Amino acid sequence: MAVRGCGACLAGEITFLIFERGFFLLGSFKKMEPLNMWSCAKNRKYLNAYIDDELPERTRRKVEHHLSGCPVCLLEFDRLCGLAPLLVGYEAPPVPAGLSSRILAEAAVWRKRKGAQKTFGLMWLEFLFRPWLVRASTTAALAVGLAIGALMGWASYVRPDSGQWVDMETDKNVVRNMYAFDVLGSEPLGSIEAATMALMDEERIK
Amino acid sequence: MPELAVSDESLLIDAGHGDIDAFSRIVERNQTWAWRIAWRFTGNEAESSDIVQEAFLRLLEASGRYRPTAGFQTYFYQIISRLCLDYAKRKKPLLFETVPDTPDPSPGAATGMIQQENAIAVRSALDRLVPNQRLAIVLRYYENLGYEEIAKAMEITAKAVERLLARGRERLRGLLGGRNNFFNF
Repeated sequence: MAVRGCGACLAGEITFLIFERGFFLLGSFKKMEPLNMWSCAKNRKYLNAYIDDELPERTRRKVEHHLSGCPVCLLEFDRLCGLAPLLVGYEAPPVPAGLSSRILAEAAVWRKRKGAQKTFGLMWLEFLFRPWLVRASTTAALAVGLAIGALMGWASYVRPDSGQWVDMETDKNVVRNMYAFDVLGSEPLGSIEAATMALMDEERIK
Repeated sequence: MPELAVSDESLLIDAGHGDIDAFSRIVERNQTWAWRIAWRFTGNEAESSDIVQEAFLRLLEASGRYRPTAGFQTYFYQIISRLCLDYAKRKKPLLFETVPDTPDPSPGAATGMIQQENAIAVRSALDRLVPNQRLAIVLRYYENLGYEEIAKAMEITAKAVERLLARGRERLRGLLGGRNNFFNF
């Protein structure tokens, strides 16, 4: 609640207002940099963007302020601006006749090629994924797999060194070799079954 | 009732769905400025035609995937810029026209010859710029694009565009020399 009618408070209010305005003015003064603080080197950095109207408002004003008082930078600015009429005067010839027709013709060829690729690819996919073909190929794969497995099993069963088919000759050397274990080696020369059979035969012979 | 103008973005989306008329309208609307950029960059009619043709074909190829998050012009500027820079990488030396020695006595011939000479000088100066600088100069001076638009077209930053333009101008000033303000009498 404002206190009015009190001399001391009034003086306080006036003092506050003076300080408030003073700070505001100080802030304003800070924004107005003197010319000699915005150097030519700094100005040249912004000159191209100034010509292209790409500077923020504040920087643009600083550049203009500098240019208004610096003949060297102004000359540089004029030189850069002088390029525009030279370059813009370089006219391009009209579009060659038939360019659009060539473009559309190429586009038509491209579409045809892409359409053919798409159709061809889709046709193969449709053929491969017919239901009867899927069933038939699955059955065939199973059958082939079973056949291979059976063959491999039978082949391992009839291997000559499997020991299953025992040579029933009564030749003792044959018998000895069949169950002779190489105690220093990693594996016996014959199978356990062959050795047992050979022992039984030997006893029978005895 | 006048036909409502359809945007290039809509036409491109239609072209992506197989609408040939939409694509031909895109070509009709945009081939002139595409040609101008390509010609000012290359200085060669045959190469410029190839660039423009390839640019439209790439546009058509990409039309199926196009989403209007980027504007059509920005998108097409990118395609043309890439093709121009690719051309510059594999560029062969160009042959320049020479000014005829015999003076033409017809009125206005002097002005015509000056303009021709100027055009040759500008062409020669542009060809001596680094491709990136040349493209930035072409997009700025001839297409009046801002830094942001040039940056999107060339897929670089706005600061990089500023640097390219500054160096390009410096180089052009050196090459074009005393021709500054030539037409100011």
